[in-house]
Amino acid sequence: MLFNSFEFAVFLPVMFFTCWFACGRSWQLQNLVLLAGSLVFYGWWDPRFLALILFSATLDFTVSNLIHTSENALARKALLSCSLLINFGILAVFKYCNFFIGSLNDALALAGFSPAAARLDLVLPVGISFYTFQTVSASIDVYRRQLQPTRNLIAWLAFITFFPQLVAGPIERAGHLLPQFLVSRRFSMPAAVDGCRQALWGLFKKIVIADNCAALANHAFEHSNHASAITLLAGIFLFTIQIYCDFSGYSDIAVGVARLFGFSLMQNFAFPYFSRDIAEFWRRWHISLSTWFRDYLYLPLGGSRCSKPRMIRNTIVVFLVSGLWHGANWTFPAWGLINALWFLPLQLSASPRRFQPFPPNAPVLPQPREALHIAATFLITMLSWTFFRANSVTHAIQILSRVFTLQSGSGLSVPTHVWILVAAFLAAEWIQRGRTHALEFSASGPPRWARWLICYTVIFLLLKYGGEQQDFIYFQF
Amino acid sequence: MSPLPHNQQIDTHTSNRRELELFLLKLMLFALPLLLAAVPSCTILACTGEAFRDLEPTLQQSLKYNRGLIGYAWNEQNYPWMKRQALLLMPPQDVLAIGSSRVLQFRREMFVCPFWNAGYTILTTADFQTFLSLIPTDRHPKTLLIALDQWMFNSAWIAESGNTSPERWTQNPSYNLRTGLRLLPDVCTDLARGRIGLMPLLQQRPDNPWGLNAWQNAKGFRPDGSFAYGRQIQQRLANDPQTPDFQFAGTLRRIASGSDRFQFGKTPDIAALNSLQSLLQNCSELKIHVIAVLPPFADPVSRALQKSGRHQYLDQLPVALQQIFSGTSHELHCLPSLASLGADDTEAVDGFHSGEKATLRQLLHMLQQGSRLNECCNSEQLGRDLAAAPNPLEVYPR
Repeated sequence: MLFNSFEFAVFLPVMFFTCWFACGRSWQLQNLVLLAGSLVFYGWWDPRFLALILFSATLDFTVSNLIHTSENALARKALLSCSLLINFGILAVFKYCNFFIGSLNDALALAGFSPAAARLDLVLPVGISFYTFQTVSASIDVYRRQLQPTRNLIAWLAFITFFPQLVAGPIERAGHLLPQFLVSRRFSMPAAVDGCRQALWGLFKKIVIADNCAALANHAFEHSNHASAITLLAGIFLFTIQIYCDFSGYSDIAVGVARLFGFSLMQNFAFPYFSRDIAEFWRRWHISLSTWFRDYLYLPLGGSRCSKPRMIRNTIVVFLVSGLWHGANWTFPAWGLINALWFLPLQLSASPRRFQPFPPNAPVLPQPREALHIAATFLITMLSWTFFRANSVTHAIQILSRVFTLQSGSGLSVPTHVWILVAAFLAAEWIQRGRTHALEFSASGPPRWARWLICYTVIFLLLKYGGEQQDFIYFQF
Repeated sequence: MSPLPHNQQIDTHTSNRRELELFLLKLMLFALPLLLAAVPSCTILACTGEAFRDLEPTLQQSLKYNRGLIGYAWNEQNYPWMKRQALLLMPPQDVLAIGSSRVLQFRREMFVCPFWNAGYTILTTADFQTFLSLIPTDRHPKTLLIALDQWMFNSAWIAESGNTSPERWTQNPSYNLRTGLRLLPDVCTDLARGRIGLMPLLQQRPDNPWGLNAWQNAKGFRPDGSFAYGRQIQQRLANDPQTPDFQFAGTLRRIASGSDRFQFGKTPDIAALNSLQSLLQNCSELKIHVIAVLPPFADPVSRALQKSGRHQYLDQLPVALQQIFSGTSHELHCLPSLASLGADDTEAVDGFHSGEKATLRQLLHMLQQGSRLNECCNSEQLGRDLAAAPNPLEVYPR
């Protein structure tokens, strides 16, 4: 079920009323309703994969409890290894099997041999990368004795399958979200109102900005062979905006919807395109994944408290794996590697944290130096996204070479209203960059009538300028 | 478990409930103006068939009873699907007209054998082949009458219009909820401006209109697939400055700026010519006779195109097309200017759309040239129809 679908518009109020009115005070009953609703939400795509998610969740429920009760270090390690092997094994089969087969066949073909194996006819279960990381992290936390596992299977399953964040994150940690399933939840009107506004802003980002940019960016990338440098640059820019609005829009809706049910999810994006260097970008982009890789890959590898060569290796490994997490195509590790190359000079100069977060009342106009940093970071991020969006590494190189050699060719007619909408969106995000989302208002902020007017305007733009419905990009991951 | 004593738990629950009710009340208050604006708009869209309603039953009725006018104001993306679906619902036709909006003035009354107009379905020459492949062979016509728009051979226009996906013809978009919702602000605005009148919507109409344009302006597709311009004809006849493309000013502007179908071009697009060639080969194999028409522009438009000096491909186009058609059994009619057909500017709906009368003149010209259409047309009758035309833009009853 898509957040931007009619089905979800019916599903959400039904869930809201059932949870708060039909379940009364019982949080256990609410968990049961949330679990049932989440399974309906997930099964809407393909009910066959419900078995897979339930298996994965039940496995880690059992493993984490066994790890917790076991005092034998070897047994604990064996149990954790079992969880990691099975979970990542499932992920590897569904997501990477054909990629490895294809790469092997390509390599064999280059060497003059016939293909080793045929591709498998597999459908990628939606959200598998997200929920796998969520369940695995819980087992690791229990193994590290950083988390007490729950014995409440319903609460655990409700936590893993929680519909707002199930298919595209944020990748929640058990230590943060699970306890919220184990206590009585209180409806908070300010939180719910702000949640509605955040979800509205998420819808705006997805439907108005991302969907409009998608059609134009697709056109530029699909006709890259004979497109002019300006067209390709416009296409890359529009894709840069599209991917941010698509993914952060989903996260905003997820966080906003969760707040309606009394849950607090972590912030997944913090205005990353206003970052002043690439290190800051990675602290603001897909925060739940970045911190996951930091805690479960980078730090166990030794982090930055080791020799410089090892630190460089660790950084490259994390970015490569992060790239591969996004998809089974060489373009993704290439994208990860490029980001590592941008990131390493900062890390080696020991200044990856030279910029502080924006304060809530940050001035509207940036300092010239700050503006320069932001523009430079945005530009290098844009160039990296070329690899992310291109069909192959060769395709990306071809696009960038056409851009840098200022090739002439066919144009792309971007409607004026799309430029205006993108500019207005960036302006709104810039003004609100010190907050968690662009429609968050402080108590001393605009009066109620102005807040309502802003919301009505956003709804008007949603209706008037909503682009052709597109799937969320991150569903494929 | 909550550590609160029982009484306190009840208090918390009550205050929680009150907060919930207050939230819902606030939400309803917020939604009230939206609902007040949306309900009339939704009603108009749904009642006129402009949105939220499936077109298929209406199309079936229109074809069955040969009655109805389907004219959308905003949802023109429904037409390509509608035209293909109609071909699937009807028995095969002897003559089928396909092309862009410029073929739409060919009407059933002009033919003595079964004819249907599937115009408004094609953007580029590649689309002809795709569209034909989406029609089952048992529904193929004996004769295909195609209009070759000049810009179909303009590389810049082709690049801008992009590749057409077959879904454009195969997927019914008429009841797409999102499309309907997107129209709400426009309907609200038009209602407030008085551009949508309520009176036409309340009247009993014999032409069974479907879609806001059909209701408001009597503009839309007839059961034979041809297009009725409705009120626009009256406006044009009255020389109303509000008429779209009044005195061809819009078209002339486009020619000057080289935009929107009138992009500059030096030579005809090779890929477009190749697509046409493969269509002809395919039709020969399918035993379909193709009659291609290069329709004329209104005379001031033709003059402006010649004067611009940046639309050179137009001069080379007839020769390039002749080369493709020579050696085949198919026909090509590069129609001369409207003036040489005996028409004047008043017979053009706008800069590049001939009216019904001018279209009849073109058909008569083709018949005089010895077209195979003579088997399906009665020239004498058509001549009499032309002479009896009630005005410069219409020949047959609406």
